[in-house]
Amino acid sequence: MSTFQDKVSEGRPLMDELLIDAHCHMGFYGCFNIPNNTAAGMVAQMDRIGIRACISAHHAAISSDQRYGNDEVLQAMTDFPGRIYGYATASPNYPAAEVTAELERCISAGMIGVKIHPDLHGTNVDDDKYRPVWEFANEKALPLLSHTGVAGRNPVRTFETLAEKYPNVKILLGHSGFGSEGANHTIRAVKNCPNIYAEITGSICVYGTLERMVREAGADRVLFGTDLPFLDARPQVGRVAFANITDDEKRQVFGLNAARIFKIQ
Amino acid sequence: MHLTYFDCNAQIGKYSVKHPEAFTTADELVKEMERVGVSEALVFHSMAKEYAPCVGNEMLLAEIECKPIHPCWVVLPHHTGEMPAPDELLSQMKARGVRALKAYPNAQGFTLADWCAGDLLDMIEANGIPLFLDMDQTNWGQVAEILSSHPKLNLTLLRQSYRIDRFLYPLMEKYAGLRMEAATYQVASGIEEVCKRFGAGRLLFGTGLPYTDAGPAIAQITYAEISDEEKRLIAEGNLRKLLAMTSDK
Repeated sequence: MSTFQDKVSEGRPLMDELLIDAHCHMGFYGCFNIPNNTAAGMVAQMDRIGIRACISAHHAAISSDQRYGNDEVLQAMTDFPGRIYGYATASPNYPAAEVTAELERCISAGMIGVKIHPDLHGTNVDDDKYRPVWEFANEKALPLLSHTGVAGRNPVRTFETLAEKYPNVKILLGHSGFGSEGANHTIRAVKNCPNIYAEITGSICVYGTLERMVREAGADRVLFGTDLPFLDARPQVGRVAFANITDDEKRQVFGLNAARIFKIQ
Repeated sequence: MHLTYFDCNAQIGKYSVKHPEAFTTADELVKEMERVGVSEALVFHSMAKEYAPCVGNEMLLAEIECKPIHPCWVVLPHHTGEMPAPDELLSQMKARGVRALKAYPNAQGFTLADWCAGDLLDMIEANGIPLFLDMDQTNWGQVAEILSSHPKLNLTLLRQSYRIDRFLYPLMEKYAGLRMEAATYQVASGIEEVCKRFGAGRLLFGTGLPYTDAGPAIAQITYAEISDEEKRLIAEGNLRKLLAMTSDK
């Protein structure tokens, strides 16, 4: 029996463990209702579960208005220091100088990674419009979280090329490409590229895929994320806590890997 | 607190797009239920969905004997002769201890509209039989039409996603028999919001095994900021009441 499974079965917060949510958001979302979407609401749910910290990219920033969204995250970082960290989110659909300046502004203000969402911004991840973002992250040696899939604008296989081109960027494959097939693509990418990591959140937790990724890609390359408040955080906690892996592997996935990659104490 | 879980959404049997880790037998399902702490499950057979209800429903009964598994049959309208007429179906269900039904209109090429399935839905509604429906088998307009024609139907939506409140709330307000599986309703704090607005009686615990992990469904309940009694209802009580049974198996 797992310590994590015991605690989650009883609804006990995991505050004595290190849980860092490497993939979360904030705010409203256009096409559906999120009843509890503020930074305060997120921290309340994190407290209930025992998530020590999260790294947030605002819904407005991954869609319509990068500056509005980034400002909301900067405010949340001030309101909840040590609990909410920020991804500087970049839209490729504005002039390169503006994109770079926005990233510089956010990182200078304390954000610790870069987030891109090629699907929502309607631009292929290897399109030249994303070059300023990749160059910025590479120059600063920042972690970069991207939405991914097995096809479309952000297929996992494309990140293998980008990882080689921008070796200083620690690339987090958001959602690990989704599902069982996405997990297979992600495992290959992680094995091929030392600077690629698997981030696991997804609304459908296909049975046994987390165990497959830990077994084949390595527990030191798989990161816990929840998508909060785009999704409820609790299912992803249950997914890791009940997984058929060791407690030491769960500790790596839940927080030790993120602490190392993002340099969070 | 200790919760007993009664899963409303599990499957056994072989199926076409099986991923590597997924299991197919009742023994394997029970083993996984024991590992994660689920006591009982309402189960349908994949062959009833993907091949033929008359074959898969029989395989289900043969394969679950003496296990903490309760049968859920897959149904079709009776017009082609592939399924008994509603009265005969009801007799067979009673005789063989089947207390719940599922329908797969998209996968099996029919509609739940009254001109096609009205007789079947009349029988299901009149006898208070719980009907389970995967949301990828229908759409919100059709759910509204079904409930408008059968307002007392006990209809539970499964695999219904999280982008649904703007469709869901007006139907929840109007039809007391509309329920949903909690696990795939991954709206942030959505469990609390549904309990507050409509009551805990509208949510059922379901794992989706062997397609999806059971842990997410459990954590969503144990960490919910609702009362212990509400948790018990979602984890077990609501399904037990729907199936009109006590903890007797």
